[in-house]
Amino acid sequence: MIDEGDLVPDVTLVDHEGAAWRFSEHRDRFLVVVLHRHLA
Amino acid sequence: MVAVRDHFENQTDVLPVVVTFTDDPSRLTAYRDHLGLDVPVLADTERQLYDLLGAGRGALRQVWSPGTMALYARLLLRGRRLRTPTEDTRQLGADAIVGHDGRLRRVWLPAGPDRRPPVGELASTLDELRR
Repeated sequence: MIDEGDLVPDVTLVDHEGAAWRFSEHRDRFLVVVLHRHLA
Repeated sequence: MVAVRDHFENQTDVLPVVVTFTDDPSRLTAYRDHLGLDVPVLADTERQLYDLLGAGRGALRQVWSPGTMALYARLLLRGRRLRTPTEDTRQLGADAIVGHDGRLRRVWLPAGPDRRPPVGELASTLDELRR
């Protein structure tokens, strides 16, 4: 578990096209990350 | 999520990102289309990000709280059809802001699925971080 102020590591995330998505490649903007609960 | 997208769509220094734990990434396209989202919708099939941010699985009393039941009642009154869940209904969500430097700046861990921070709270936090 990470705390506020810690670097967010590149966990394995995949986008809707099946491509890998990495936090380290999106450091030009603030990211507002919404972690969904059940995908209804 | 639509409210978040609408609020931040003209703020070029902000990228909203939706993360799900679906184990079927092919559902992401349908989800984007259904909500009309043009922001990244990502699958975290191993729930690594959920674990890192502390978004755990809720107890039954958290997940099926009076607030959750009221939320579903409101959706039904609006004409939404509820479907039999096929995924883990006990997985709780979270909201977070990651800074330009890749560091976690703020995280919200709601006590139940019916509780999320209002968009205005996300926006005011971003304003503070920009200063």
